[in-house]
Amino acid sequence: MVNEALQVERRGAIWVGEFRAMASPCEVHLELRSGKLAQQLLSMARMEALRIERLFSRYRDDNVIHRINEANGKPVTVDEETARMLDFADTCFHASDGLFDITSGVLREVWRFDGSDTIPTAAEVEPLLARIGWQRVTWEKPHICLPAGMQVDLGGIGKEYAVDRVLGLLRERSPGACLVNFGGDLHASGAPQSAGFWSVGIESHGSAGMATQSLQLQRGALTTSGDARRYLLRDGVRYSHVLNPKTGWPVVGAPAAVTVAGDTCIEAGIMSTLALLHGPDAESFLDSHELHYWVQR
Amino acid sequence: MSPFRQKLSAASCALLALAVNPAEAAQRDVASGGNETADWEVDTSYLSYREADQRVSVGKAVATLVREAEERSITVSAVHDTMSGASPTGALQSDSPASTVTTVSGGNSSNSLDYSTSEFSDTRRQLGLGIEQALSPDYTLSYGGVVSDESDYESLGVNISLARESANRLSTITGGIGWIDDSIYRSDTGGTPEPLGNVQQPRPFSKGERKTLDALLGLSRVLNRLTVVQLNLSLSASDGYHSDPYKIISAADANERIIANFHDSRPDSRLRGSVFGKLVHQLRDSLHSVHLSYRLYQDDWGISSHTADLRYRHRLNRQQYLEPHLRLYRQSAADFYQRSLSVDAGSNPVMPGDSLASADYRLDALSSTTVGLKYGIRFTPDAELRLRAEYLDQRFSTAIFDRNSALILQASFSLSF
Repeated sequence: MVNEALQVERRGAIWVGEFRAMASPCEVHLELRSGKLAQQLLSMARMEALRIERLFSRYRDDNVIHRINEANGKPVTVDEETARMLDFADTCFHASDGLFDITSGVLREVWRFDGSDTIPTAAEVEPLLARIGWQRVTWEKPHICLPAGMQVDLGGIGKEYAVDRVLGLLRERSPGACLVNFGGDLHASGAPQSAGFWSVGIESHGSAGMATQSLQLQRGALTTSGDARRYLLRDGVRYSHVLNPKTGWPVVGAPAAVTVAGDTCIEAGIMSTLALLHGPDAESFLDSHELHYWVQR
Repeated sequence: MSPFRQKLSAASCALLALAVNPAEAAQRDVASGGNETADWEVDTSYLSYREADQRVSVGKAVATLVREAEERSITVSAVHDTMSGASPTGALQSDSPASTVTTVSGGNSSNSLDYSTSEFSDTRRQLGLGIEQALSPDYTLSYGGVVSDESDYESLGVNISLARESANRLSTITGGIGWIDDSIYRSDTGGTPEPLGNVQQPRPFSKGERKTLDALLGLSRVLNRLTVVQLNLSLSASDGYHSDPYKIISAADANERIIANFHDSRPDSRLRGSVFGKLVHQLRDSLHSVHLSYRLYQDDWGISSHTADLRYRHRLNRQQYLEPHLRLYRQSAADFYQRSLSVDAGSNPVMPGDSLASADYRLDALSSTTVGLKYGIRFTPDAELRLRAEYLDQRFSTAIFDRNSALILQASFSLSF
């Protein structure tokens, strides 16, 4: 329609809005009669996604993440929403025994997952480990203090958080069912009356864009983690983009893709990420937590 | 649930608890327009229709107010038309039109009076109300009414229709009926003249009541993401006064010398049917679209017509479009249409056996072509301006005025809030 960045079309009973945010294609599906309300809600969804992107992007120099990362050892006071994110990351860090760590982003200085065979040397990776570890961070809400040289990156949960937030806003305002899908992480508020379910394809890791199987989702979240699109390949070994923050190296024997169902996108996202970090034990990890999942190896 | 998942679940609840800070809440309200889910849209337009040679000119102002909500939409519309000019009556032109007319008391006017056109000036006001109500996810009920008033015409109409969308929303079937009650009369006498009565000795005939029942069956189907087709069948039956109280038919000899003029006389009922098909196709990988429609019409007066309409909407960019338009129309004449009544050897008018005769050019065989261009621009997502210019060319088969042309200009503006 009018907004260059927001494409709206009606597919049967469903209004679909498409836009880009957080470096991903984003889709919002609404089962509504009124095109005007749909347009309004889709535009609101996009605004909220862009707002969260601005808030937590590590590529900007005008947000709270930049202030924290550039504080050079000094404490930074954060807003309520950021504090909740840090609380959540803190819980995940402790509960996962340090496998989920928002300070592991510095590993990107040597790991570039561009599909090439450029693997860093152990001598390059080793010094970075001293700059990783949430346990070194002083987090006393609302003050955070990072040792100089360390960084936080909420990119690992920002997109999932945005999905849940946008769905929450839509659910308050839309009389019909809604589904939010940002870059493959999705959350639905309820089944559409027209079809009785949302049909969700799980993308095959061998062929981007092709679904291997289709799920009938009534409500809840689905997230997929994997190296289908980001990996390094050397001497026949596929290096997943999921890096173990404790070793600084990609997890060996990780599935190509793990799809996990959960009540919210952030929960499912944490579980699918942790499953990958468990490498060959991904399935037993998921089983031990009694999750619904689909693994592609 | 594992202790880990319980912790995670509690943490995510804390994270997603909605009340965040006021600035964010304010931002959300700006984006969503608050919690208000109803919307208003106002659409206003002005149309000017001008025929060549100062024949008929019409100015039409329309204002429509729509309140759209998820379950129910309400549309209120008001129309104000001003019409003036000199309309052809159907009578032949007199050889020596009088520049002025004297009448003796008693009302008989001079024989040399030219009846070929009738000057008029009128105002029409119309008010409409329409309600669209969702009964269930599949069924929508629409109903409404229209009242219209001018100095020689009153009309009251009501309609109701039910639409059912298929579960996949790809097809819709609509059935509806409407009822219209019209009163037609001459603004000078307040009644209608006797059909085929001599114009110079008019006798009052009736109040000019007419009732019409319409029925419509519509089907629309989304063929694919780019193409929508629509098919409508409609039937209309009317009963009552169908003549035009201003139209006249002359009786004339072979040299078109007028012997007498008579009032228009048409059947007292009419049955009409039409089939309408439309296809809207969006051109692949673009926002341009083609709108093609065809209508076949037939009635029991012997008129059948074909209308083909082609529009191409060319998006200049996201905000603006240009839409060229071509419309072709062709109709056959009504069975009782005659250019004029003939006279016998004794110069007496030959009256038709079924007492039906009309020289109204609109009942003649005719063909018309309309070419036009529309331009639309959205200034903001909520404000749109549309400008339209069209030229109409009509050719009549045997009517006295065998050609008509008109220029149509329209500006409309719509605003949502």
